[in-house]
Amino acid sequence: MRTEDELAGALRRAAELAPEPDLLAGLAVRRRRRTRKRAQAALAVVAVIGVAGAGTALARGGLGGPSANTGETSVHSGPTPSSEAPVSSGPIEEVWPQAVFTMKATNADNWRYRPITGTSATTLLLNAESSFEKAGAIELYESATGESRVITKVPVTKGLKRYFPQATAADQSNVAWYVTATKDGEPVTEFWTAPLAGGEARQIASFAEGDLGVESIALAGEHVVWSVKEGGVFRLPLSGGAPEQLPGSGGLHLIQWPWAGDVAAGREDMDANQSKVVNLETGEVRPILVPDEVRGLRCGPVWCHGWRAAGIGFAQRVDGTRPRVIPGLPMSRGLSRYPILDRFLLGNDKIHDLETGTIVTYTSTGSWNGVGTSFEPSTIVYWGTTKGDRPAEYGVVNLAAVPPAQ
Amino acid sequence: MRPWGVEFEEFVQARGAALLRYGYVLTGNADDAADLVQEALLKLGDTWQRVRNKDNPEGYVRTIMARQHVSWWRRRRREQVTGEVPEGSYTDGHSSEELWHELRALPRKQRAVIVLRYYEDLSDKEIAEILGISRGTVRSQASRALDKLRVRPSVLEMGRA
Repeated sequence: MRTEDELAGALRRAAELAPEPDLLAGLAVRRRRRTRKRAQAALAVVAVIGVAGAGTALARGGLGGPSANTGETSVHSGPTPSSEAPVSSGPIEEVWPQAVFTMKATNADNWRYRPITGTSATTLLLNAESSFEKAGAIELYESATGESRVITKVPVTKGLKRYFPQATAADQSNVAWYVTATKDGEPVTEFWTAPLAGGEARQIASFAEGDLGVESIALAGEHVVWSVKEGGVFRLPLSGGAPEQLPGSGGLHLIQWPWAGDVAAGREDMDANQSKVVNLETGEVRPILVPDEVRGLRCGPVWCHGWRAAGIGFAQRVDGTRPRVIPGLPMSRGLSRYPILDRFLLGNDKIHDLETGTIVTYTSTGSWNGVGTSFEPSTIVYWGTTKGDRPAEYGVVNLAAVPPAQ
Repeated sequence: MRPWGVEFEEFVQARGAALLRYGYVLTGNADDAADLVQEALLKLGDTWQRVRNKDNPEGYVRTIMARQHVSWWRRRRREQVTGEVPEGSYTDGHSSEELWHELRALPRKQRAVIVLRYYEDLSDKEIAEILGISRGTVRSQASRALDKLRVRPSVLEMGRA
């Protein structure tokens, strides 16, 4: 199942592709036409609707096209940060060839893969789904060899309905995921883990006392950690036991362990600016310098991304240094509003490396593209290499394969 | 000669892009979005002095857009379907493009309700007022749409205002 947040995210995402005609010119044409028509006859309305848009509605060709920024300069919204010139740009195949590859879209059982995230430069965590949104197994794919191995089967607890394994997290030793389900109509939340090396899935805990409101999951050594919708970060030993709230985590939401921020992922807070980023291991708090007129600012430990008035993409570091506008990238896609790996912003056909200023283009063939399903900003963007919902192969970008900035 | 005052033009310059985005998610295609925004702005231009002094012009124009969209769907009865979504088919649920594709294939009325609720963040009561339909209809249209899109309604669904 999808979430309401994903729906809201898809709408905002789609809104970026809105046309950018010259409204005032169009209005003038329309007004003259209306006056004429009114003079002629009274049946104007339908005809105007049918005809008038033809000359003025110029749909824009895509993000970052030559006309994509028309209008931005005319928005008076305070000082414009200097745009850092891109260091280099070009197709990803030329700039970061090691980050692009093609892989089979189904496993040995013909179960469809749904990528989760990259766990290294050459490994990809995948769900293999026995049917739609029914995670049957978790696998690890090696892009260097093109081979994958099963980490664990994903069991379904008997007696539960609407059983949906949600986000999966991984570290160097384990994978963990949580499940939302119902029992007699009441919400149940389960936590599961399995060794990354491969083995049986083991249930860590199951909670039936109301909806926990889990919004995220991560692994922290011998614990699984998560944050809840109303704020607060909790942890539970992988060996089981009682969950405890992490000290100083009140009102915080996990970004990427051990970092958390003070805004929720939900649509209610879409425009809210994050004000701090907190390290839950060390207690370090980094206040965020939020410029006037910037909205929706989301920051990892180093980089922030948001937008200025009229939806112009904007990025800076937490301390306010290196500000810049990001043309053609008003908001990052889906729910991954935080910079990926605290460094990259993903557009429809472009990837911005905030660290180096590099902008690369990527071309997703087929009729859709998607990001990995991990809670933490996924390093993966992928698409079907052929049109339709069931391509035989995926084209994949794994940003974890991009070398560190010098 | 300027057909409108400077203030109105500034409003269009400043808020035009946001209105086009709203029009785009409402109508599902670029041509209709531009049509919708321009028609609504034309109306706003006629009443600019009054609206500027009394109301929030942006809220006013957005309401006009939603209503105009309703009246178009009543008048035209023609869907701009770009792809049928067969029930129970496999779809890549985590791709927002795919979700958008399915959104566009929704009947107009359902799509309008979804946009007002999830893009405009309006309550069902406000949606009912804007579209001139009952709150029960808002709820049934929304739940039908969410079902088609395979979106799990939040636990608050039953108690929505």
